[in-house]
Amino acid sequence: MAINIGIFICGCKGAVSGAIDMAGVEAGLTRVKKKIGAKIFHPWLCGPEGVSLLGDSIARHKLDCVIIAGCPETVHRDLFKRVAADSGLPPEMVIRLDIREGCALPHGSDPRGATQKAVNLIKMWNGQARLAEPYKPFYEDGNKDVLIVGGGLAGLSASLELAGAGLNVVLIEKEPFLGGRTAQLNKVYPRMCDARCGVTFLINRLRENTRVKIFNLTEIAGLKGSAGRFEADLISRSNFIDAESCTGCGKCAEACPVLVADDFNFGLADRKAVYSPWSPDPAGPYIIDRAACLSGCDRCVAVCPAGAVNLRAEPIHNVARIGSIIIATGWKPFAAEKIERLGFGRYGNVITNLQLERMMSPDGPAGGKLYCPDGGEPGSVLFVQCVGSRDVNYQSWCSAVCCAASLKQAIDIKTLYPNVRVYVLYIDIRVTGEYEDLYSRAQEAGVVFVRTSPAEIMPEPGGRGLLVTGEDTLMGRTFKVRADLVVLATGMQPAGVPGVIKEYIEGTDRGKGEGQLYSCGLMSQWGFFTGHKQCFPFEAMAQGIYPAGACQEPMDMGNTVRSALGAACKVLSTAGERLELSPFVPVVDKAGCDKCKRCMEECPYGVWYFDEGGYPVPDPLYCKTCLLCVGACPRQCISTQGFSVHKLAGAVTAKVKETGPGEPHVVAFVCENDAYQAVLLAARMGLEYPAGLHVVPVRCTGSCNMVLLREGLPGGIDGFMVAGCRSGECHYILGADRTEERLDNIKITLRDIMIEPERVIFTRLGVRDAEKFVREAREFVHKLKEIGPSPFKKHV
Amino acid sequence: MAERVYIDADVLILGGGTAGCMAAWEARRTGGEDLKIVIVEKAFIRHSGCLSAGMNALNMYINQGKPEDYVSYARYDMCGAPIREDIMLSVANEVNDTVKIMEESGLPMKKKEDGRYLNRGKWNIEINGSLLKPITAAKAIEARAEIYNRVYITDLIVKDDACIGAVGFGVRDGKFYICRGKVTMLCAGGAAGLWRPNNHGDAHHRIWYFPFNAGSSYAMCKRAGAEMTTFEVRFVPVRTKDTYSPTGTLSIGMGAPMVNSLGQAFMKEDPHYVQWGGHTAPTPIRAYGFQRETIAHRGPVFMDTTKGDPAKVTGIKGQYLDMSPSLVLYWGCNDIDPSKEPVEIDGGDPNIVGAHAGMAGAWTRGTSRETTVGRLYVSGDALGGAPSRFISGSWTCGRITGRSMAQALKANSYDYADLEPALVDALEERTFGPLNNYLGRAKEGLWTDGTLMSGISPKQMEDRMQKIMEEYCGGRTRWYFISEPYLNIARRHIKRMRNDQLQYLCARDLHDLQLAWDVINRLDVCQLVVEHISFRKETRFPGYVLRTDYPEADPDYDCFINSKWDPETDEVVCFKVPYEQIVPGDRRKETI
Amino acid sequence: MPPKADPTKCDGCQGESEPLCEQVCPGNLMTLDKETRKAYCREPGDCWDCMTCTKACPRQAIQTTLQYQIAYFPGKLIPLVGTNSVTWTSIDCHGRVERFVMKTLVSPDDEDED
Repeated sequence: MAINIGIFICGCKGAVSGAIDMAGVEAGLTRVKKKIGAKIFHPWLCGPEGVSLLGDSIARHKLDCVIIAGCPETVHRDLFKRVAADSGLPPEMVIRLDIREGCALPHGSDPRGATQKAVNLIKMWNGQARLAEPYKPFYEDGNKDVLIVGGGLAGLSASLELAGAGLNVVLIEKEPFLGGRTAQLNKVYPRMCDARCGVTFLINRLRENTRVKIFNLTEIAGLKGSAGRFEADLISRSNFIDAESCTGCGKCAEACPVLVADDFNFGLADRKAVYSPWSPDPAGPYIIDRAACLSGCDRCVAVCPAGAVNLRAEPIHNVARIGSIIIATGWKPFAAEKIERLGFGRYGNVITNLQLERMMSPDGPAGGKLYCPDGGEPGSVLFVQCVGSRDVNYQSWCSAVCCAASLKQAIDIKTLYPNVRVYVLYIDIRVTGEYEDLYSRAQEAGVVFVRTSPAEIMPEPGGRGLLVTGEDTLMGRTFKVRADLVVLATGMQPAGVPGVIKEYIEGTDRGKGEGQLYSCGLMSQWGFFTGHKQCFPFEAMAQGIYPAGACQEPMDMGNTVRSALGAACKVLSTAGERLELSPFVPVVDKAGCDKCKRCMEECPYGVWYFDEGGYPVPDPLYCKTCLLCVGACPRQCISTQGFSVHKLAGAVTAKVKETGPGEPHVVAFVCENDAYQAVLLAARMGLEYPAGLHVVPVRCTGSCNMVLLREGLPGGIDGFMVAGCRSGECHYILGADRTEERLDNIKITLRDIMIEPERVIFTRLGVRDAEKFVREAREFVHKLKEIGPSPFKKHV
Repeated sequence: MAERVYIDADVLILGGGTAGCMAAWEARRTGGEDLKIVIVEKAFIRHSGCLSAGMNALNMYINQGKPEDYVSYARYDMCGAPIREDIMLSVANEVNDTVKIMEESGLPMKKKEDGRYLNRGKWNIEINGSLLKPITAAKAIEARAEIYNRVYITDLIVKDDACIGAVGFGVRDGKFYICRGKVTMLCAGGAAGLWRPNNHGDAHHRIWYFPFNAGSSYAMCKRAGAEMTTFEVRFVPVRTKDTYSPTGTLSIGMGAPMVNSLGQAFMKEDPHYVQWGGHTAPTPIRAYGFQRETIAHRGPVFMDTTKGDPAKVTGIKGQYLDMSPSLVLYWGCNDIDPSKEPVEIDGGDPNIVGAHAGMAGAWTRGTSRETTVGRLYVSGDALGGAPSRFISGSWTCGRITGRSMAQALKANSYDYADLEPALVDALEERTFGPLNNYLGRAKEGLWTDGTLMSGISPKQMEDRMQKIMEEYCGGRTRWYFISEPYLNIARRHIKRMRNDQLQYLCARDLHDLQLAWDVINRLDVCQLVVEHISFRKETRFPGYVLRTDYPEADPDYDCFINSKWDPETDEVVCFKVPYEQIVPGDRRKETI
Repeated sequence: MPPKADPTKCDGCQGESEPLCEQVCPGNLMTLDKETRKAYCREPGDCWDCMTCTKACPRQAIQTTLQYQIAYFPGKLIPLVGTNSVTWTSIDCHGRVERFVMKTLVSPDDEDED
């Protein structure tokens, strides 16, 4: 608690003293004495003389806290902190009060009001300063273990990066092989290198690393705990052939009587129920697809010379105790058979782009040769773009990668089979940035582009080809073209977040509703786990859980790796030894806590857990310090070193005077990131608003506890304005929405006690909404004048 | 079998109220950092008990004179004794310190210009005490007491004449709690709800005393074999009609005397009352004045607030809001402006209390607060023989008890006693008895309204008990009159209920189980009350107990009446204990 | 004075098993309706009107009314709890409003200057 406060008031070379009567301020502060070590007026505090005066005064008066009333905090931040540090004062004990943009500039035509407002603001800041204390450093060790769900490109990349940083990684993959979709691809644009090359590299490096544990055929079956202390229940299916004793002789596969479509090859070929999954990292040399087995068949058991087959093997449960989770579940292709007119599934020579990838792959069903599944070699190949994508009937989004992928395939075909005619039917060619080059290369290679969405694909009467019809929208005429092979460029769909993780995040197990991730915009309407795209792209509303890769949105391999590295970076920010905690991490005063758990429920990030005594505590490493909990706590027992209800109450209960006869006294809590910027901008634009409106910046309006209104209104404050950010723009997802809801609630209470609910308004301001702010401020003050002074004025 | 929770404590405090919290605080100060202090509270410590609605004054504070003067006042207010002057002195010596401690803990004190506390009358000071309980609880939390909320203690465990712990059930979790204490302090309040309240139905708890104090302090002490004292002194509140809010705020704040319907300030004017001390007569006499005027057809009786300064009404309402907000609402609903019309008062249901203007409780050895059962301490309303301690005195008394326990732990090598499994099983069966009873009896059938065909609800049993006490043990509707023939009937019925009817008592759920234990405890207190009143064959405290068969005071009974319960015969054996005067002077006068 | 919770304001303390009023009630009377997830007083006649729940409710959803047997309709008394004060609004049967701001806690700065 500060006991010897210095108040420094800067004239700002006339910018402040031009509008504010400094003598009047001095007179207004005469009775402010207790715990005040110095009251010093100076015309230019940031000038050399002012700076040395400041330093000298701190030493001479043994000040333990200073309030600098002058320019906004963003100006001269370093200068004043340095001066303080030189005088032995911790930086947080230098409290800045803006009376320039906050008072002198916007009230130039009301010098009396501005002067009184300056006095009021200094008293309000003094009320806060008294409770200020130097920050005590706190440290916490981060949990360094991480679970990565999905062994595709994103999962592998994140794993390698995190293991390299010294973290223990548990990587789970539900398929019997690693590499995900990338393992099924042929070549990678723009360099036309082998997709396998990168995947193999990643897998080999991971296999070398003892920090990485990889589980194939494994899914997450349960999740509890919270960030830093998750417990994930992992369930691993058996491959039914003991990988240790299997010699890979292949006798089981020979004996196996079952043939099924090979899903790895998207059905271009068949495989047995016993088969050898893709190398280099299969679950075993051979595995059994039990779902495909004939009932009662045990030929593989009989034939195995090593006795490695066990058809009754049970799934294995493991518990992973980890600090963070990366969800890299990737994508799945659009099911092209849904669009009947395109003939997929009916005509053998209509294939998807992924089937083409397998066909062209050297380990594909025909050793990398282009062929028509119905027989023969194609003389012409026709690509149809946007199959499913950008189509309100199927999936409205653009899948982002198919244009470039088809161009790559077209170029590849033209390179290997120069005589094959290649057509691309497109709506728009969307190759962005440098990939424009692919388009030029395809054109140069002789690929024919037709702007159309084909109406129908049907067999060529009497021939072996296919006829594709449609309307050329560039030329404005119908066309009909014959092709031997049609390739449908199917789009990407999110593979989805594992159910247990989604339930955990949305708290459905705690009685909360489903769909929270959608409603607060972290999961797109189409099921992509987008996060808070620009500000917190890995935000999942449950801390310690980060999406990465194509489950976030359709993306190509380059972006997938970038996304994975971003998620890995989020994990690293909370995984270390002795991480210094933010002074804004909330602390629960257990002496005041009634364990009502509202903090837990209102936290947009789910960082709270119960300690041994049943008290809620936030995980300090994962807390985003939005301080919604501080605003929510009905007992006001959550505070932080940097911000507390009690400090704000010190401001709200300061004994202030009205800025003019009959002028309403208004306190405006504005969110520091958005609305406060609008307030500053208004002043800089020369806009004026009534001096009775006293602006108090807060971290997020959600951190405003309603007790401040319940204390302030009876204290004689005529009105409260709370200005949050615009709808859907809150950095803390729910901050402004929660505030609006809390204010709606308190308005009902005010109506019940016969206080005009209009005394409280909520407004939403973007960073540049200066004019809106000024308009609303004027209207609000006007309204308050209309309804008259607070009935509590007489109690003051 | 319920899930069991075992708790061991150096200092086991049963009841997290006025005394319990401060005992924890003082035990920590005296006993040092390593002491393990546990408080078991049946509600939630920050908002439980008598202080839950707040209080606007501290009625014990030495504004003037010496601690001895307060003792003489307390003695005077109990019609000249008997009171435990040793205990009273120990409290009076420290009460001002305690108030200072509470002020430093955030309690808003009203002050005069000169910075001294604003007094109201001789021994009272005004406060803004609506958060009195949270502030008190914070002292226990400050002392790092381990607090178990929502645990209802049902019985003490006694072994070789010493208390070794207690058992109870979790009101919310249904677990069985087995607590062992090296020393145990029982401070679970007095007893309301023995007699029938004036209001019925949805207002039946609109009474003066905290209705959830059901006499468990007394009942458990009695069952543990402790010597009990002064259960014949029951407190009869004469308070604002219907809401039973305190009247001191009116009498002193508005200078309002009691007047009868003829407008006579009878306490001041009628020589019959003047001989007792007039309008500052002892509390039992003022209650008697109200009763006598009403019986003589000069009722209703009012506090005449109309002569006071009307400008003070707002302040008076404010004071009530800190303590008994319902009165302000009552006035608003019933168009009552106390400056324009006098405020009607009425006698409420009698209460058994130890720290207000009553002095029932456990007998203690010297000023140690240790009962006749070893290692069992009492404080607050549970402590007998020491009236007029009120809140500040109970805080102080709690501190003294806490200190006494910490000192006893230092002086003796107490250890945790072993509990035989059979004993614990038996205690568990007893604790959950009414709950299991319900399950058993539900099998015998339910009526169409869902009630048991062969069982009694706690509410029904409470109604029966209150009817008996009301009609045969001098309730409000019987003008508090008592005589032996009535007592004989009361004795018979209370005995029958305790010995025969409890087998039918059934609790549907854990809340009901709490109510069931409330009525079991109340019946124990009723037994003590009936036997004590019967034994004191005189009328010493006329407003509290008017024995129509012995209407005068008898010098033979100028002593304490103590008792012990014999579990074999279920008899309460009463006997006389001499009163010792420590503060010299005329016992029927105040020294200042 | 049995407490009554306004269903439009009570949020059952966000669906927790034990809302704040239930947590604090000295008489173990407030409880949560399992169906509606709103709080109510299980036995109105057992309430001592200490108003702990009314003051504690984070949404000011709980109001108190006097029993009709002792008081006429429709008087109201509503507390508004601040950090260091409680503000009471009394609205009598005729709609007359009286307000009281009562101190509840002394903060370290209370005795400071103007």
